[in-house]
Amino acid sequence: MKAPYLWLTEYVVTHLTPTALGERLQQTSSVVESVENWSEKLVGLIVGQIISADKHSNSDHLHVVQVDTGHGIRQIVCGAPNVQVDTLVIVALPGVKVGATIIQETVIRGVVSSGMLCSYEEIGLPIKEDGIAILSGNYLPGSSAVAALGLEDTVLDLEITPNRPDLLGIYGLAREVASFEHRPLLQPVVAELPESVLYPVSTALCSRYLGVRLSGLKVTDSPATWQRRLILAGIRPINNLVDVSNYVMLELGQPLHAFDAALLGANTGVRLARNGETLHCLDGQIRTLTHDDIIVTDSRNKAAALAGIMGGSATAIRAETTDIFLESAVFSAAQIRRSSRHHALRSEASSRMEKGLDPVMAQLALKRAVHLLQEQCGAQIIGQLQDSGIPKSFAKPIRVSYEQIHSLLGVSISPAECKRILLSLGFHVEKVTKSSLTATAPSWRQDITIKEDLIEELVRIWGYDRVPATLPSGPFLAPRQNLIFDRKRQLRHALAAYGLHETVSLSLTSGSSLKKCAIATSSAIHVQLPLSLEGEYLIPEHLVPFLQNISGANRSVENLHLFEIGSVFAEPLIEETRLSFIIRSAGPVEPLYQEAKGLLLYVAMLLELPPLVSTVSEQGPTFLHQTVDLRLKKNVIGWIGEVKSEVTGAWKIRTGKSLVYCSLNLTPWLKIPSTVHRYRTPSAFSHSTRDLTFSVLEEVPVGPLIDQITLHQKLQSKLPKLQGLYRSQEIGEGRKSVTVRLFYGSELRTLTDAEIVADLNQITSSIRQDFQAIIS
Amino acid sequence: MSLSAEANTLLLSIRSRHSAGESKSTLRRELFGKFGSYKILLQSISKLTVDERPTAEVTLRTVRSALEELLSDEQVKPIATEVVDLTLPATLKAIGSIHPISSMIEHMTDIFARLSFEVVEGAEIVGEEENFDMLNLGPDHPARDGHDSFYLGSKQLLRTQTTAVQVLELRRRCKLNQLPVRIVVPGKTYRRESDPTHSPMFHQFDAVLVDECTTFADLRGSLQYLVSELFGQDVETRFRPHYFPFTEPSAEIDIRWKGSDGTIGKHTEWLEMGGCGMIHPDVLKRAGINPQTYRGWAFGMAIERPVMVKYGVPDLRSLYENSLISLEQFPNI
Repeated sequence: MKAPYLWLTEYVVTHLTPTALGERLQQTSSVVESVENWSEKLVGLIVGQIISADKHSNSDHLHVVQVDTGHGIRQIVCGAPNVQVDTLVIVALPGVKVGATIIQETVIRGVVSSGMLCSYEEIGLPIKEDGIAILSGNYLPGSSAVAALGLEDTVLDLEITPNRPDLLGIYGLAREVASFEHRPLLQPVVAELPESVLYPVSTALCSRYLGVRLSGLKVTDSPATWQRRLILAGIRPINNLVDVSNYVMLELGQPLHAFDAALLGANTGVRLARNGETLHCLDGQIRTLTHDDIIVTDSRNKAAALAGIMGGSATAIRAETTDIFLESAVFSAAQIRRSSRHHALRSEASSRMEKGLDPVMAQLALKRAVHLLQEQCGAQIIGQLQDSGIPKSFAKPIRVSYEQIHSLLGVSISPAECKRILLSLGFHVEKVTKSSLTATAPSWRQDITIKEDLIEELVRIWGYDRVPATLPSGPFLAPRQNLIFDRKRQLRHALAAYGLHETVSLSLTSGSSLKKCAIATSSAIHVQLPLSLEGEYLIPEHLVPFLQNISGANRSVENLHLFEIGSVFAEPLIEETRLSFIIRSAGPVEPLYQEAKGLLLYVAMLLELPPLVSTVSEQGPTFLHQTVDLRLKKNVIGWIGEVKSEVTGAWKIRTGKSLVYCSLNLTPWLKIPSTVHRYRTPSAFSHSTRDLTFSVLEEVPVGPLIDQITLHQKLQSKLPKLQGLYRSQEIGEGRKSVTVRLFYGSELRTLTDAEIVADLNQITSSIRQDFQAIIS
Repeated sequence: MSLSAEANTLLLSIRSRHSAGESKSTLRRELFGKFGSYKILLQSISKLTVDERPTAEVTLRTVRSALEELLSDEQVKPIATEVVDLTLPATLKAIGSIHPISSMIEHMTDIFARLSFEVVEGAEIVGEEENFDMLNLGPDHPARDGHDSFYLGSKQLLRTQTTAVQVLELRRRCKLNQLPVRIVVPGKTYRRESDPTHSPMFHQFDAVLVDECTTFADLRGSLQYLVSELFGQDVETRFRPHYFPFTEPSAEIDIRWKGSDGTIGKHTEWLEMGGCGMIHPDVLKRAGINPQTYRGWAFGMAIERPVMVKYGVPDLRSLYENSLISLEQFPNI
């Protein structure tokens, strides 16, 4: 809502400057987006008079214009078609800012041009004109353009919350000012309306319908004041009969609509449209209506307007219009909202109507418009006022005690102040006792229904900023731990300390990114009405943002360790909290699998969780090859694998690096209570280690081999450990040499050499037999 | 096992340990030190018969030269020195980083933990009921426009606010007889908008307190505490009226730095931080809580906002690009 300051002061006297007023309104009523002084906005623009206009010798459309600027004649090259000698125009001389550009002296096709003749559009006015702005009236060349335009005012741009349609008009804003400034609210000058006849209308569609016929009109430009105010409020003036509706809407917040009475006919009505009925709207479009649209009908019961949203062109004001039917109505807010959304058509009228308007104000607005048309355009009322009548008010008296005010706010407001505030806002204060007061909300405040609403009214005018800052008291609570949250946090810190970088990625991705990851789009959740193709799906894997990252923001990073903890999504509407990480590194891929397993082991140790068991996967996900399943008990909760080369290829990720991705469903793991290990007293007897070196065929997996050694070692003090893995010509093609370190010891005595050798022999014979190991 | 076989085993084991990354000096010490394994082998030659010795000696020599080749330092042998240069620059092990949004969530939950608030997280896919209807945002409510949402099914959507957790969580705790309640809800939220100050995904932080006796002033005080813990004592707050269907009275909270030194990231103009208010009685009723006995307050704010203010990040969307150049600026571990 753009509120011109001077218009506002027509309804309330204030000594506050526009900026100070904006500050106060912000503290009591509404967010103030900006306070714009038009004299500053249009600073430097002056009136000029065209002395001569010659065709540019080197162009078919440019003119070389001599302009009297009050301080000498300037030569300006101009391309507008409406350049005419003697007219008054708006001139921007070199150095003056127009929009975002600063005008400079230039040479246009060989002719010096020192300045610019401006169009309305170029200086930010909502006025349509083919070419440059031509001023009507008498102004001295060199005088200020903003004064000539009559726009020396400051506009407060307010963001009105949806509960306050009463503030979508100057008058409603003035009421707020009057309340906090302790001033009277001045009343609009209005006409008397004739006797009314009942206008039957369904109250479900329309809570108030008023209409009156006016004649003796002539379509002309609006009076200058209307035009200026409309421009300041951002609405384009069209003609007097259209502008009056907009003017009153801006002033009182109630949309009006003027039909050409001759085209509309004598009998109008309000009904729901039939499915498939069409209406040629004012914006030139033909819309197909549904049974959810409210329409105003003409004498033949055909749609004449999409009620509360937009008029129809068949009954629109024409150049020859002399009689109008002026409508002021309050249509069902919910219905208007649905209708406006369905047709994707929002107008100044519909955006007010859908918030719920005041059926009493509808009458005042009509009176005001009739007054303006009588005074400015010689309108005469024909016949009677058509009125559906004031609907029953649903506003109930609300009682609130001073104790309740204090206990909700933590601060007291005096009874006298409470009463004054409510009265100034138009409340009907019914009963005031020592301990409480009872008040009824005015017709324009349908948002007030409970005592908390009333308390908000009191505290916002009294001053939100006077509310003190205290800390909650009340009984002490023993907060419970959120185990999953705390463990995710530990996990995050552990991985970061280990050298991994945490990412937070957008959960939205494109179909093409999924395809590049070899993920079927049918398995991912599709978002309805995505903002763009980039955000059509929810990520089913962190791999998608990881690869986007590696091929994008971090494409030049050689070695990368990233992790993410967060939700991924899959059909049918499943959400899963995952831990995922990706390792990119030079060299062979085998050690990266070990590193990934090591990371998970580290996490398990740190969080005192059971370690995950990794097994070679029968069939991994589509984007990985050589997948390892991660099992918690028997259940696979994740995997480790190398990203397939066709996937990295699709992302144009440089080859020559290994890329290993791991992802696991975190919740089942993290919700397991910590296992506390019992302390083991270190043995007083000496320990020894033995390295067992042997070679096996490449195909023989080392994991099960070590498991077997573990199983057969009887006298171990610690689990055996892979000490080395070696491949060379000496061992032979297709074989690998493995060294396993065994730890021998006992808590009861020192083991003898013979015992250890016997144990070792057991082990060697078993791996010889089961793994065809050749012991060197 | 013959001596030659033992020597070869030794060579293989040392090779694999070397390739596994054990240091050359350790291995050298183990082989050639006082009781080094190579030395022991060499000594055992004396136990062999005269006939066996030449073969064994040849094997041992070969093994020795192989070991020495393996374990020799390519570089010129360093000259031992007594001088220690104490001015050499620091070396740093590769450390990772925690995303600033995660850090901010941890920071804020810690601040509220000091006021006995527990952490609750909820799902990101929610029903219309939790996200809108239970919070007085009925199907035709105009305030739903400000929450342009991503629907996934006819009634399911990505939550537009972490406030979606509020009613169900209050209802759960009320049933378990766990009133009063103090909770914070951090997490991801989604709205259909994208420009330099809006991202279709962002993070929100809600705090909810329900008790028999708490006030608008307590809400203000708790927020002021949060702000001063986050940004320091020279930041002031202000309350402004606003409208949320699920709170009454409602407010927005602004912050600004006192004084006007104009340092980057120190806003001397008022800056909006979030919305708050006293929980609407209808919302409490839906949670099964009697609004005659209990009342509550709640506030919600975007987590990106304090991150941007604290570190001077100009573009919200750059927070999700995760470029290492940015991430490394926030070790935060």
